[in-house]
Parts: sequence; structure tokens; C-alpha cells
Amino acid sequence: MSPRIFAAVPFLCMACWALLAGVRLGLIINDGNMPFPGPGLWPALAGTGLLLCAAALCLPSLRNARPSLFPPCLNDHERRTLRASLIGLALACPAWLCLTPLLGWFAATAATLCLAARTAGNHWKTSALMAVIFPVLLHLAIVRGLGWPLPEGLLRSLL
Amino acid sequence: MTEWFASDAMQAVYAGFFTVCGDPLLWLLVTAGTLLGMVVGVLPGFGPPAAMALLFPLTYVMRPLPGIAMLAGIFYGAKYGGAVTSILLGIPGETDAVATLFEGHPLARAGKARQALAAATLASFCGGMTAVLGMAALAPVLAQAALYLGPAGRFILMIAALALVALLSPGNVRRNAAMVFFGLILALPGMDPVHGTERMTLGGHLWGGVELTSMLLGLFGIGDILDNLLHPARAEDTGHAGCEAKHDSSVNRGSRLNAFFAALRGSLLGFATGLVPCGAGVTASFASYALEKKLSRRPKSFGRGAWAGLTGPEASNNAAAVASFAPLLLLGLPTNPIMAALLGALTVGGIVPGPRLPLEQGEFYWGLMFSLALGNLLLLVLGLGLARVWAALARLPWRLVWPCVLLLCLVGSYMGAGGMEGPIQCVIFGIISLLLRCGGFSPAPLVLAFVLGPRLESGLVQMISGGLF
Repeated sequence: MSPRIFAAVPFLCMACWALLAGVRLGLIINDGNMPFPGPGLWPALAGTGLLLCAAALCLPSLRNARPSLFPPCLNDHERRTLRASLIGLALACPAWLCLTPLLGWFAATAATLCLAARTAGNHWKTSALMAVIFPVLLHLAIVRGLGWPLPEGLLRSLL
Repeated sequence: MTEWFASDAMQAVYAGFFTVCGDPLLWLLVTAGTLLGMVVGVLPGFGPPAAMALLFPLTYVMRPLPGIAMLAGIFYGAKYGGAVTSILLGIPGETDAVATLFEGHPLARAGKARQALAAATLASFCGGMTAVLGMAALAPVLAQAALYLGPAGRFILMIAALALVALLSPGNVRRNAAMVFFGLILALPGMDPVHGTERMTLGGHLWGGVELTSMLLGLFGIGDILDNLLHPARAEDTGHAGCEAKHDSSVNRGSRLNAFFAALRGSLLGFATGLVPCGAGVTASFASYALEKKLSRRPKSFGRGAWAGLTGPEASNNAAAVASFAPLLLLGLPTNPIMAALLGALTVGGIVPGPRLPLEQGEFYWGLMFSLALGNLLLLVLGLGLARVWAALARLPWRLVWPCVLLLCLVGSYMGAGGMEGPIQCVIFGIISLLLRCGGFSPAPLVLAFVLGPRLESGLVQMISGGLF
């Protein structure tokens, strides 16, 4: 599949979703006197707009200065660091999402930050230091300073 | 107009002034906002939208005026941060700062980094203050003109703003238009703003709709992290040439005068450009650069460190940034993603932007004007006083910065949504941001359309049911 069409597919799906929802909700409410715009009119209009744009994206005349996903001309060390950082980022997000409801935000943030900092190429001592200082600063600023509650986790409630 | 100045509206101006003067918390928050904006703006790889997104959740626990004043401080603080990295490191934080780089970085390489920073700070101050004064003077005119707009006028104005965004945003028009409609569709899930019916909630998962904070943090926070990881040259290439200002030499009087008049011209140009939706900063700074080059007696000196080429665009850029508050506050029309975020914050604070804002919530409007002036003054003091700190901060290794920013995004999106759905949406938008950037799509039109979507829908229904079609 050409990259142009590949880029248009998600937009086509979104457009169809909005169009279908619009039609299902009803484009016009007709109470007998005067037709009134229904809750589906706007979704249908937005969906039609995106559908047309997605079709336009498929047109071959589009000058496509496609940016590459990975930067060119990296040496081996830079490529390794980049790969490790991306893996770290990819792991850190789900790790925080899974750990927070269990361990609470403080422990989850410390563990995730340690993981992310280490994979970013920092020394393990620096990573550990960051993992301690950053959550403490956040705790002082958000929980103590602003009085904003952050999730404490199942473990805390069990203990 | 004379009546306007003589009437109760003038009382609101005084009330706004005394609110700002008598509120130490507001002073503290404006200072903190400006400082935080400068820090985040100076940090490698972050532009003002990311800075705003990171600190946006804090407004949930504040009163409207201090919260918005703090966000405004973050906005122009981060803009100034972009100028610092442009001058010292040759890395424009975002497109607005590219014109600053043309002359600022050569000056820094020539050993005049300190003077270039000072000139940029003074020019930013000049631009910011001109825009604040312009907004204060134009408020009655704009407010009265906007009162004539009915639902149809407002709807057409919003459509025109989105069309301008699609046409003028960087990149291909078709891609920008697709982003506009994508943003409109993302605003659909949840409760229909007119009929109150549930729609497109994916089985109730999106009952509250898509969260603006999570979207901003995902698109700009996590998006910037990914962008900088994948384009390491922008974040790590900290060309140090001349940045230490080892060979500081004086600037002659002629250059100073030229720079001063360039800043004045840039301020006026930037103010006018800032009132027009979309791309105000970048359009203003490039237009000012071109104007200064045209007016210069020695156009060949441009690109090699011309002072007028530094101060003109910098003043213009800042004036446009501050002037973009006018369409937001007086028409309810955000002209860039940052203003879209501010519109969200205004809504959270119960402030209804529109032509009647200076009259009905005059204390807030004029308080904001005075706090913008205060923030610009603080920017001047902090910019000149902490130049060395900014220079040191701008060289922080990216590997230390991004893990902390990632965690700030996750915690911030939790704060914004008040539950774990916030961080989940933030991560999803981070992935969407990566895909969009890889496909050459700009996320800015998406955010604007997302914020304007519900207003457009209500406007359309009002127009049709009012018999205007």
C-alpha cells in the first residue's frame, strides 16, 4: 500500500465512525411543525469533512516530503542509546499505568523514573537520585502545596 | 467610545488595577509562572505549548485570575526561553524563534552573547508592553464591534479562523484540513452540547469526552519527547561557539538606535499580526525580519549579526503572542493551541470570553491586562538578571530532562482528568502525536478545532433554528 493511502486509512475510519454515529443519532428532528437539527447533524458534517480530506490525502499530486521515522546518519552508540530510550519510554508508560493503582503514585513514579532515566543513558546512581528527588518534589508541590490528592494505591489501603 | 471610558467600565479598570496590586498571591503566581515558563522554555527541546501543557493542571486548584495570569506568564516566559536557546545554542525552541536565530546566534558566536540576550529581553519587553497598551486601547472598539455579531456572525468567524489555521499553519493545506476535521471529531464523544444525548462514548468509556489536558500533554509533552529522541541533533547539538561571551565588546550607539527603532516597528507589526488567527508569532517575526532587512542601509550585514534583525523579530514575536489574547478574550476565539488551552482554563474558572467580558467581568479583564504588564516587567528583570542561569540550563543533557517530563505528563494528566483515564488518554495521544509527526501532520490545527468544536456545533444549531438558513 502506498504511504499516501496508508496515511489516509485512519482518517477514513474516523470519518466513517462519525458518519455512522451521526446517521444513527438522527440528522433532523421533525416534530411536525418545523424541522430542527438533530444530535447527529454535526457528527455527520464533521465526518463528511474528514472523509473528503482523507480522499484528498490519497490524491497523487500531494508533494510528500515524508519525514523518516528514524533519523539518518547516527553512529552505533547513538543508535543504541536511541533504541534504549525508545524502549524505556515504551516500557515506562505502561509500567506507571499498571503500578500506580497497585503501589500508589509515589512508588510508581520512583520506579518508573528510575527505569526511564537508566534507559535514557544515565548512570544508575544518577537514576536512583532522580527517582528519589523527583517524587519528593512532586509530593511537596502537588500533594502538600496544592492539596491535590494523588492515587495512593491498593497496597497502602491494605496496609 | 468616550462614554465607555467615562462610565462604569473605567471603574472596572481601577478595580482590576487594585486587584492586581493588592493580591500578593497573584504577584507570586505571575512570578512563578514567568520563571517556570522560562525554565521549561529554555530546557532543550520544549516549546511554549509543551510548557503550558505541563503546568496547565495547576489552574484547576486556583482562582481564575491568578490561574490565567500564571498561564500567561508561562506562555511568554517560554517564548523568551525559545529566544535564549536560539541565541546561545542555535536551536530555535519553535518556529517563532527562527528569525531570532538568524542574527542572535551569529552575535553569540561573535562573543556578544550577553548583549544579544539583553537586546532580545528588552525587545521582548517592548513588544509585550506595546501589545498590552494596544489591547487596552482597542478593547472598547473591539468589544463594541463584536457585539454586532449574532450567532451567524460568530459561527462564520469561527469557521474563518479554522480555515485560516488550515491555510496558514506550517505544512500542507490538505493535511492541515484533515487535522481540523480530526479535531472536530475528537470533540464529539460524550454529551451532545445542544440536546444532551450521549454519543460516540465507546460503551461509556468516553462518557466525559476526550480530556483537553491529557490531549495537550500527550500531543505536545510526550510528542516533544519522542520528536527529540528521534531527532537528537535538535536536543543535543549544543554548539557552544561563542556562548560564553569571552570576547564581549561594546555595541556602538548607531546600532543601539537602529535596534531600538527596529523593536518599535516590530512591536507594532507584531501587535497587528497577533490579532489575526493562526501562525501569528512566526508570521510576525519573519515579516519583521524582512522589513528590517528592507529598511536597512546595510542589508548585507543581515545573517552576520545585525542588531535590528534581532530586536525587530523578537519584539514582533512577543507583541503577537500578547496580542493573541485579544481575539480570545473579546471574541472567544483562540488563535493558536496555547490560546485554546487558555480557553479551557477560562471555562474551568467560569469565565465566559466574549465582547461583554470587559463590561461584565471587567475586574477580571483589566486585572489580566495589568498582570500581563506585570509579567512583562518580571520577564525583563528575570531575563536580564538570570542570563547566566538560562545559559547553563539550556545545556542540560536531554537524557536528564525527558524522564522527568514524561512523569510530569503522566501525573499532570491524572490531575486534569481526576482519574486513571487521564494518563491512559495522554499515552494514546502521545502515540497519535508520533504517528502524526511521522506523517508530516501538525497537531496545532487539531487542538484548535477540538476546542472550537462544541461552540461550532451550538452555533450551527442556533443559526439553523433561528431561521438564518
